[in-house]
Amino acid sequence: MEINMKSISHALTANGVHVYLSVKLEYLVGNRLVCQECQEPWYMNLTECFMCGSINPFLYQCNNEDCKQYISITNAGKKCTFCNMEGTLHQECPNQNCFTNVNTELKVAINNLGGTFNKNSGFSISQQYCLNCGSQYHNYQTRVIYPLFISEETKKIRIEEIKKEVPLDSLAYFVLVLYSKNKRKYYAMKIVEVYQYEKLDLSKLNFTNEFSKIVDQIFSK
Amino acid sequence: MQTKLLNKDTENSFPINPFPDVNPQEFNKLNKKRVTEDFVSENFIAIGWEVFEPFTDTGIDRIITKKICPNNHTSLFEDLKEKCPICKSKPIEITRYVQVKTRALKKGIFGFTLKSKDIRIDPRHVFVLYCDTTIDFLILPIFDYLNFFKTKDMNPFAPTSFRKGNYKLNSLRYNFDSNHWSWGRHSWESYRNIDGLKRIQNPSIDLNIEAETIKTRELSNEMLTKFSAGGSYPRNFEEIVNKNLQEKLKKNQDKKNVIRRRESIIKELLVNVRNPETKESVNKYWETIKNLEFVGEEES
Repeated sequence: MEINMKSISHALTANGVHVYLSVKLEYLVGNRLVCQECQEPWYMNLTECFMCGSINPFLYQCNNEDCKQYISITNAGKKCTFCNMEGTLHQECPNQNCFTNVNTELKVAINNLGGTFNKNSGFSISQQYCLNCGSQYHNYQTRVIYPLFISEETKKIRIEEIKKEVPLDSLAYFVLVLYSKNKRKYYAMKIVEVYQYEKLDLSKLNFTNEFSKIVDQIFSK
Repeated sequence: MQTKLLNKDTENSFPINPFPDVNPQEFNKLNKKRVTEDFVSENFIAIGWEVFEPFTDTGIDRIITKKICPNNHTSLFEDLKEKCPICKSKPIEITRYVQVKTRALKKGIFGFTLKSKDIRIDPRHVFVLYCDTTIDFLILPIFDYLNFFKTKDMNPFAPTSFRKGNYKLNSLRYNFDSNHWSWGRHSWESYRNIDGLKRIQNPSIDLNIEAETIKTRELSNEMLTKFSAGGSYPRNFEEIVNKNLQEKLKKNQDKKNVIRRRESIIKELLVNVRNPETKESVNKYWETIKNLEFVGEEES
């Protein structure tokens, strides 16, 4: 894979986009799983409480009634660092009104397996509700991305020169990458818009240094 | 360049071995990853799909697209370049997000594991179970996968091991004598090869994506929001846990309730967590989890 295409692929990945490669290698497919209603990214590796939907806080809570402190699961050993009791740390649901906390018999049974958010308990599940709006619906959001690498000296582009065998798909974008020595600037345009012109005057385009803004533009609703 | 491989001998066969120099059975568990991925890709390319491979490993093994008639007149073995010769409609592009599981049979069993993170709601999400012993694809859109269990009154999503991620499903079997795939005593022939292809080359999924997503979510909730005690918990928990799970679904129908509750829990948590480093570690874990989306899992 050509180094400039690789660079753009890595930049997309760093901005939360899963990149897929066409066999032709002239273009990329960018994909994200997002909330259908608000486009907030959806993380299937994030877990929530099976009983109430609270997000995994990655904390142990000490079961000692006189302590009840929280400790990061990174730092925790077998003893609570606050009260020094052993065997009291569990990955409980942070919602005190959750059934896993309210039903004491169930709580004991779950804590015997490490707590709600311990994988062994079976009481956590991958994200079911949007982090932003609470919706339960998610979809894949897919864009075709054609990076075009243009040296800084170029003033205008004739559209005929860049016309590819591209479906006039409303979800396909050119990403113009203007480069000079160590600087890069970016501009994204829908392909259906580009094809309306004979020439693109680069001096009239508002390039940005921030690749993340290009990603936001391409993946907006 | 993506090229079609069909010739007179293989026309209308699916799948075929696209690599004339080697058989799938010559590979073992340790060296077959690449060839099985290519096998799946080349077979879809041969029948008119565009196939996209991940730049880095993710949960979706392939994205595939195809241009077809919106009234479903397009042959399974072709793509539509111009107007449909039957109804004159312009082609639409359909997209499928494919998760591939490849297994050799062990005593006739195709064993695999699906976790809760694999159950996506987008109706274009598809499982392709590729058996390299028999050279078969079992192809199921997510709705069809969930619906199979609902209609047969089975639920492999209720046990705690499903949510633990270690529930190995061992009911999918191939009978060498009868050349027949089944799940327990239920036939899976309607998902096999060409019949499976018909299920994913259905334009109504793409044309009605919002409605199909809602339908898939309703079915997913029905199947996944169930608790079975199994060997991990006393049986008497089942009724009360399931009752509370249904209450959760009802309460959370109002999305604002979900957000309000989560916000108040986080607020309370941040008050109760004394150590600022501990608070910081929570944020770090959330960031790590988001980045895990870009790390593929090795198939086990």
